[in-house]
Amino acid sequence: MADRFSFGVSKGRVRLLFSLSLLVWGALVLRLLQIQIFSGPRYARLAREQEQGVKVLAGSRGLIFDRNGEVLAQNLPTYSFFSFAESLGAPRFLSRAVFRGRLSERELGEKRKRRGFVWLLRDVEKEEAEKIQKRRPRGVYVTPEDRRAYPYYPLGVDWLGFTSVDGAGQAGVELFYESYLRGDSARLPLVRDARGRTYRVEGENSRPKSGNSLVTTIDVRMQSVLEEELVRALEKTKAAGAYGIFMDPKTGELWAMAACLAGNPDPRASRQKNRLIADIYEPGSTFKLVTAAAALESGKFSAGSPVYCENGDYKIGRRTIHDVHRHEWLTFEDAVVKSSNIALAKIGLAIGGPAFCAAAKKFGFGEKTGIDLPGEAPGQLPSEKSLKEIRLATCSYGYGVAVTPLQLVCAYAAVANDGVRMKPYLVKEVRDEKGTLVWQRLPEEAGRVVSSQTALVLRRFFSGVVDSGTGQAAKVEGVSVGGKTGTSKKPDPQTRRYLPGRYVSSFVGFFPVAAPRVAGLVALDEPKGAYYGGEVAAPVFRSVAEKFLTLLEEPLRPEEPEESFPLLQVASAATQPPAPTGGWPLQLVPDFSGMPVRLALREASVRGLSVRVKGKGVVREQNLPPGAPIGRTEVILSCRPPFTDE
Amino acid sequence: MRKMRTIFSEFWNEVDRRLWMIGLFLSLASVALIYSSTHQSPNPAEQDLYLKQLFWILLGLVAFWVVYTLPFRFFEAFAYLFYAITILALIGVFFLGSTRLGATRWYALGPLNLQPSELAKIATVFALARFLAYSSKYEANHAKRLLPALLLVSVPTLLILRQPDLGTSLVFFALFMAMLFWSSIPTVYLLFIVSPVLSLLAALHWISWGLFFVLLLVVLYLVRPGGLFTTAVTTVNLLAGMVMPLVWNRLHDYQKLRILIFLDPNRDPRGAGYQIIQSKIAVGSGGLFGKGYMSGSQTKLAFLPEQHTDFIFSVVGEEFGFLGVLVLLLLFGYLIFRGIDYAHKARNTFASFTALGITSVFVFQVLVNIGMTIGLMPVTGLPLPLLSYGGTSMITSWIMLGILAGIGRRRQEY
Repeated sequence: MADRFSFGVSKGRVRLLFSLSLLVWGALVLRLLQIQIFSGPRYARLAREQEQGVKVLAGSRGLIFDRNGEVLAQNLPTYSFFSFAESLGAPRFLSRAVFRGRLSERELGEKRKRRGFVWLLRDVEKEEAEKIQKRRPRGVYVTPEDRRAYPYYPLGVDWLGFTSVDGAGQAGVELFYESYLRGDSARLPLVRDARGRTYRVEGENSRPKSGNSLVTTIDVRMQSVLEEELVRALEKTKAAGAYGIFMDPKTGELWAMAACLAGNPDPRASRQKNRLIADIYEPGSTFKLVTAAAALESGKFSAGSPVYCENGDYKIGRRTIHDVHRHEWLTFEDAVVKSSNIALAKIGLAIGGPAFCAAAKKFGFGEKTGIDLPGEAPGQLPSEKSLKEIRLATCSYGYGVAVTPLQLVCAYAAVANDGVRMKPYLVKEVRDEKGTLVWQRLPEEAGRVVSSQTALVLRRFFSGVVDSGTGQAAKVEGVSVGGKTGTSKKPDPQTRRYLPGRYVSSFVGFFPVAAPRVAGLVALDEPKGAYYGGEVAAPVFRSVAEKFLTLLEEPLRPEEPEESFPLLQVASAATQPPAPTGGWPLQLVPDFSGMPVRLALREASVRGLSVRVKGKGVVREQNLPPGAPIGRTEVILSCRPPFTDE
Repeated sequence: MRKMRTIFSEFWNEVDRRLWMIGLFLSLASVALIYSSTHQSPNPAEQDLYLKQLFWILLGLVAFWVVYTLPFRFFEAFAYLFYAITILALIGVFFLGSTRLGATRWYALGPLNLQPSELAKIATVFALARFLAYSSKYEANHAKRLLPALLLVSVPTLLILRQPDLGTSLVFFALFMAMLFWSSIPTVYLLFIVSPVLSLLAALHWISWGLFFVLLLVVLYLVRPGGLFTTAVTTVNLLAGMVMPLVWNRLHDYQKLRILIFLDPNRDPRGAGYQIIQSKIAVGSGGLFGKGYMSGSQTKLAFLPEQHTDFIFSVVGEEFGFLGVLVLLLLFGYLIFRGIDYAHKARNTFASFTALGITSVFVFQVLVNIGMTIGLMPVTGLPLPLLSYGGTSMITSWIMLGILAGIGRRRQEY
């Protein structure tokens, strides 16, 4: 061997070289032994930890319908395009050929300079997204996303509310019914890569649950009528704000509700707070309802009781109360019709603080109405003790108390509903994605406010206001309207002194007087020029009421949604306590005839009876005779609109 | 046709079949590994890399055959010419090369990014082998042989360091030391070569540096390698010790970071230490048997950057476990054993030096690359021969194998 070696590297060096190599290799093997065998389990755990994650599949949010099944809030499938900076193509090409200018060359260039995942274009509508997809851009990927959309936006934004970017309710019913609307998300274990992209999802078949849908009591046609008229009034009176609420006095269902502000501010920002339930104001003359009701209920006054009106100036202690028009003697009825502050103050003083206070509380003032919206204010009532002398006198014509517009309209609705106050509400049904009823709201009484006799007398008073008093501008041809005007001075929030020339002008009323079907309120905040409620708010009420008439004459709900919803597997779902049964034993089919549908449904639900309703209004016929035993058969109720005007 | 067959059968009969087949096995393994690590990559540009690699292997096989066929007299004759050409290419890359990640290393030639530093390794091995082969016959003074050899190596080393490419320039240092060692130069001269580095390290504190310097002077006095050499060593050591802080400041930030990260990978786990940590997790989680081919989750999920190039070893570690890695080390070990053996057995001095130089390049790259993936060495960006993705690297690896095989075939020739 050695003889071949021409330049004499010693054998020692060759051996050294071999052993050095062996040593190095040995070191590598030892290190690998340490990492892979001894620390192997630890590294395996580290690997698992960084690979595993959870994929949250958000269930889509429930929809919101109006009472006729019109969609008010829905989810638009939108698409978002993303890529990875490294695989993004030429910006010039992408910008021109693929995104057709929706993304500039410069933007794309900047995105390409980043590393890893980049959003390219978000919130793209379906058609547009499909077009982009068809151009088959390499290295551009698409993912679906949901966006909340309001087809009638900004109609009803006050009570409808809106959602945040990540789809959580932020205001209105979107917030109040968040727990129903929000879908349940499915959490799937997944394997993800270093960029956090999902590589593989385990348990693919667990699906997220969609949120439940809401059926509201709002009629979108009425809502749009109201908002149109309010905006028109804003323009005409140059007021700072126009408010309106219309409701069904019999049930407490709200049909339309809006607060429009001057200058078209961004609806979402300016109407985040629902001013109809969160803002309080001094109601002025519209509050005379309480005084009048308390007086009639006390028995000390009747419609014809004479009251001396001091010829326009009435001194109580150091203060003097004025009337707009000077009167000497008026009957109680005329005092209300002509809206005499002095007369009402005297009447208030005559019935006394406790009785007045009790009446106000019965009407629901000083406490929340319990409407299904966030952020309601209770208003302010003076304490019973402090209601003396001048304080009681001013409260009697609506100063020194603070109410929300909703409280006021509910109080008048109580009068319209024969003295029974109903709790106002906006959402009457919650249905799951298949349309099955999950929860149903039934009309709920908040208590009897006045006897039906008193309610009748009060309605006559308020009818007089419109026929011959301050509210004549609210007259609607063919229908008798009852209501009360109000013009109240606005105090400075700091000094609490009344500001000159700043008023809230309002009109609250109902129609038709004989059997009221609609109660409503219109209020204008700081109108310029004319400011009497009778001049400014009453005409708006009239315009709204006129248009409502035609809407009321039609069936309130079209047939279709009613037919398509399998009505009432309510028995288990209803959260309300069983209602009184109208005298029929629980195991027998009751006599539905003449019942409003709502009541009929309630009767049926108490008995676990399945019902199909045809038409709308009051039940005229039923296919099973009253008194028949309740079996599995469905009872078909044929209904007709109950209500033809006087 | 017949001629082709004759050529092939001749090749097949004469070539070191084991060496060739190991090379082929490793190359094909690299295709499989690249497929496993990039085929499901979200980046479409990466998905077909394994096909490209297959093409590089074909080119590599051709290069192997060419180099294998040429007699080493040819390389000996043109050694300095090759060297000069590659030096020019290294200089040219500063003006014509393309810059990526802050380094100018490549000539963009169509699909191939030619890296002249890879070829410079081979050319330098040739030039150094030629110089050492001739000088060992006629020059008795070690110091006089050492300085020109040093010059031959430092030119490409410094040029490559300037690119900057620390890893590749270290390869030159390694092959230089190995070939000097092979040239029977006394070990103490090797220490002189290394002494500036030691001086640098010693200069961390003035007492240690003082001790080191006194020791150096004593050794110089005992060896007495000649005036010029002594002066040179002393000067260089003095400079190294004194400019140490300056050098540190001259390092690129990423170079400093790499050294610091090497010392403590958890210093910046999401940043520069990320590669080392992820690579260790990948290799470590492979365990004894590995997760199976195509089942390496760390690899698939792109936790490991550069997994098809510099960090391909961790794919082996993850998917084939300790056993797979052991097989790989055995195969590389065999190639290296073969190289040293040929260097030992070659009768021609030039061939012997060449074989050893080539082998040392192999050893160094395998060691540094694997060491890097398992946290034994700093991250330098040296590819793993035959396995890492890359055209130049694959072709150069096959050329090196061709040189070894050629020397093995002609080991009896003078």
